[in-house]
Amino acid sequence: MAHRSGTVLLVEDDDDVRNAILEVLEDNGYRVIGAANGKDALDTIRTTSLKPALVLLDLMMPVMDGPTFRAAQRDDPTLEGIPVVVLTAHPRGEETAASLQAAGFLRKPISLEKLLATVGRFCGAGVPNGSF
Amino acid sequence: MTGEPETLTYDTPEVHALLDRVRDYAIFVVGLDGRVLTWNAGARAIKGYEDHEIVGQHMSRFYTPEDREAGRPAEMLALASRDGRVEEVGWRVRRDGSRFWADVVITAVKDDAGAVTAYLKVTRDLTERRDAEQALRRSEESLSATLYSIGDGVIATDEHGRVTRMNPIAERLTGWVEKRAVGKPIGEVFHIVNENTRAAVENPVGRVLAEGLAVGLANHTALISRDGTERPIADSGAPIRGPGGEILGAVLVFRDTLSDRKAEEALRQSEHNLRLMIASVQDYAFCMLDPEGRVANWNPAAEKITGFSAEEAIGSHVSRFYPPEEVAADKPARELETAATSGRFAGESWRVRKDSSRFWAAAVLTAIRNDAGTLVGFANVTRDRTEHRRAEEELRRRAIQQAAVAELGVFAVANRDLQPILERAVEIVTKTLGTDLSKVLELQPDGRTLLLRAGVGWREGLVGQATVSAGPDSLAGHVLVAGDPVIIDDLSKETRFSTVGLLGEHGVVSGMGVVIPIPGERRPFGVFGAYARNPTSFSRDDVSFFQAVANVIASAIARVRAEEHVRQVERTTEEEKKRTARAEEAVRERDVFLSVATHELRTPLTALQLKLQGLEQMFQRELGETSRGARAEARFRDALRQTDRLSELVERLLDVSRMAAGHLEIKRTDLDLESLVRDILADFREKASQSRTEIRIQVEGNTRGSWDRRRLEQVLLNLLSNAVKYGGGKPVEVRIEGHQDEVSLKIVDRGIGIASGDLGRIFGAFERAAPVENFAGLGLGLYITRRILESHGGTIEVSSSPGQGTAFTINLPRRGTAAPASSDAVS
Repeated sequence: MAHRSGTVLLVEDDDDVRNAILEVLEDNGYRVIGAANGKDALDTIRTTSLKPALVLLDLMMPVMDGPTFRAAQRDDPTLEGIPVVVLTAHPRGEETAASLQAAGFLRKPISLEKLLATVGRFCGAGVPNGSF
Repeated sequence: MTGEPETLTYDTPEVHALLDRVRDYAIFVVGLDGRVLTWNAGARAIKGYEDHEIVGQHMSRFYTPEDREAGRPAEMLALASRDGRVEEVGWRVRRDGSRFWADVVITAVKDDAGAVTAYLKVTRDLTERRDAEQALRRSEESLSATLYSIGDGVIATDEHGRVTRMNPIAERLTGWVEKRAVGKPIGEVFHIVNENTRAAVENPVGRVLAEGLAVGLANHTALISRDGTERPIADSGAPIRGPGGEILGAVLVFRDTLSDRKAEEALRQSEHNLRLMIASVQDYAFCMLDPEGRVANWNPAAEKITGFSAEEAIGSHVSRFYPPEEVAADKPARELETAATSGRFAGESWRVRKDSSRFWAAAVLTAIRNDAGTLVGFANVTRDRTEHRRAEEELRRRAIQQAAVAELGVFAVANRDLQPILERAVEIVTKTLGTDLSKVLELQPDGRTLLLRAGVGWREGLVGQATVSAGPDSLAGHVLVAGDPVIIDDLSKETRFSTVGLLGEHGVVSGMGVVIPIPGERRPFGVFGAYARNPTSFSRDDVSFFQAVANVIASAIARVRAEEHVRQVERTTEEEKKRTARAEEAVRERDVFLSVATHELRTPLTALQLKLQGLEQMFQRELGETSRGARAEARFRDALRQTDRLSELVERLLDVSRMAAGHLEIKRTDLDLESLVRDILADFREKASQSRTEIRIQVEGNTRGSWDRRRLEQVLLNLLSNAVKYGGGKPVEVRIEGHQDEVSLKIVDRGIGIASGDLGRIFGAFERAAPVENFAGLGLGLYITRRILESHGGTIEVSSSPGQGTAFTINLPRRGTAAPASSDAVS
């Protein structure tokens, strides 16, 4: 599997949602690292040498929620430059995203079209990987 | 001081000393120019000025501003000069500005040559009397009510002096009954003479009507009653004035002074006994007794009073006229003894007539001695005072009855429960009227029987248990329909009702019954009764008393019921509060559930949708433009449309839960309703192209306003899709009209319509009463629509006829104030 584009860090507590996003992104040629909460995500990106080009961040999660992760990320000079797109089911997700100084937001249920457009904006066009 | 020498002579110590003795009158000496030269202590007291403040001042300062304006003071002096004397009744002003009703007489003081040198002004404060007149005038309207309760005799006349009313005391004193007296000249009914000279005395009513003043009656006036009885009276008359001060009639108040003057009268009798005895043969039984007390002489009045003829009486011992018990107690002998030793005996006691009936006698027994001092006999003067005593007894009885009513009233006010009040009422009636039995019967809900709620004198086990018939042939039934109190003189002779039941069983002979009403209700509470085993006649006072007790019971019932009602309302309110709290709790729980459920639903939906989209993408890439690819594409579209519907449902659920929690936020931006509708229609036509329904738009006026775009889109989409869905393919009309402060939008379809029974609830959401079809049918859309419009301060209305179509009308204020958030429990 060829990964021409940047890595995506996907922080989402729901396994099904995380897997679904992961699948479609990988299908479209993106490398995706999954994390089940903010703490997992921090641990992962601090230990890996390859910094992600984009963080897709769910807000309501156990252990460490989205805003806490975002605060820690912004406090870390090695991480603060990574753009964050908020995933939210909240009707006021737009405001929340703005308050977290996120680069964008995706409202759940997420349409594939919008997901790919957003990720493409930060990670470059993916390479479709369409085999069964 | 004016310094006019000839008037100074009035300002002397002698004049002062004389004038100052007069306290009830303000006396002034006024100079020719109207200035006060001197005045007395009475004037100081009445007018409130000090000497130095008034002497030298013009008398006009005692007049009201209106009178001064009209030149009244000077006019009075001029009249006094011309006529020698002028009298006036009117308002005068005190130093403190207060007014008093004054009788003023100004007399011109003339010198020997007849020239006026000064004026003597005498003022009397009539305020009190005027107050009394006014009170009388006011009471005229309700005179009939108060007239009858006054202890004095009262007769009212019209302006021609004809009797219009009289109270029971007046009836008794004049011997006339009101019914007969009305319309008669006052002189005929109120016949008065001078007690001493027997000359006719001018009737005060004539003066009252002629002069418009209250007048007192001269002393020694006697009233001759219709039956010839003569009574010394004191009386006064006063005018009855209309609202404009015009005299409408007169009222005469008078009282029998005999009792006041009894002692004095007795003394006079003892002094002039013989002369008096002879002079008063009509009313006084006069007899001479020998020293042993045997009748020696018997006058016609004695015969009339006792029924014994002279032949029968002469020779009898005086004790023959005493009741047996007094004879047994040796009373006649002791009275003779007292008269013999002290010269005189006076007293009142029962005597016996020839027919054995008794009469109350006022007797004076005087010892008669000859010049040598030997007892030669006794002069005995006896007056029949039965009527007088009866009247006194009646008064006493009435006082006791009134006290009893008052006592029951106080008791009723202090008690919250009816039963003790009913029990006290029957006790009080029995005690006060001296009857053997009394009862309170309560009409039962069936209207056919009455329950014995309280009673005195009934055999055991009846009170609280027994019921009697309310049928027309029973006493109780008769009382219920009679209205007025029903008096029974002799139960065995009764024809008004036939069933005597308990009454007969208890040996009742006489009695009375009244209805106990419930104030403000047509149905009465029941019947109040009092009964005696001996023949008893009840006086008018007894009946009034009885009725009064029934009225107290009625008021107590009204109060107890009102209190019960209040308690019930309080209970209901309490229950209502609990119910509301429970409902609110349920609503809150439901909202939490909805919110959580929605979030939980949305998460797998997100995964499902992405999976499907991913799969679709994959198939597309693999199969491309092949026929298999096209079939796969169509199936994915179907599957995705279902996830769209699911998402839409979840979104609506979330909307509803937010609205129910009052969290619907409105973000206003400037919008044109018309272009919003057109945008939606364009979008809508694209999506629903298969339905082919024609949608026509009419627009009138300015359709701009400040509204929440996303929310209004929701509303319009919902209404339009409903119109298309239920419009049966017929054209749908949309009319948008801009008005002064609001924009209205009407969507009319010609479809299946809505049953009228459902119209009221189509805008509701989760009412427990709403059938499930409500959800399944029109769904939550209209509820959300209503709430969105309300949040904009707008309204939505629907009208529909099944088979004819439906019209939804929304009104949106251009910049409305949101209606207060309401919860579902009250919507």
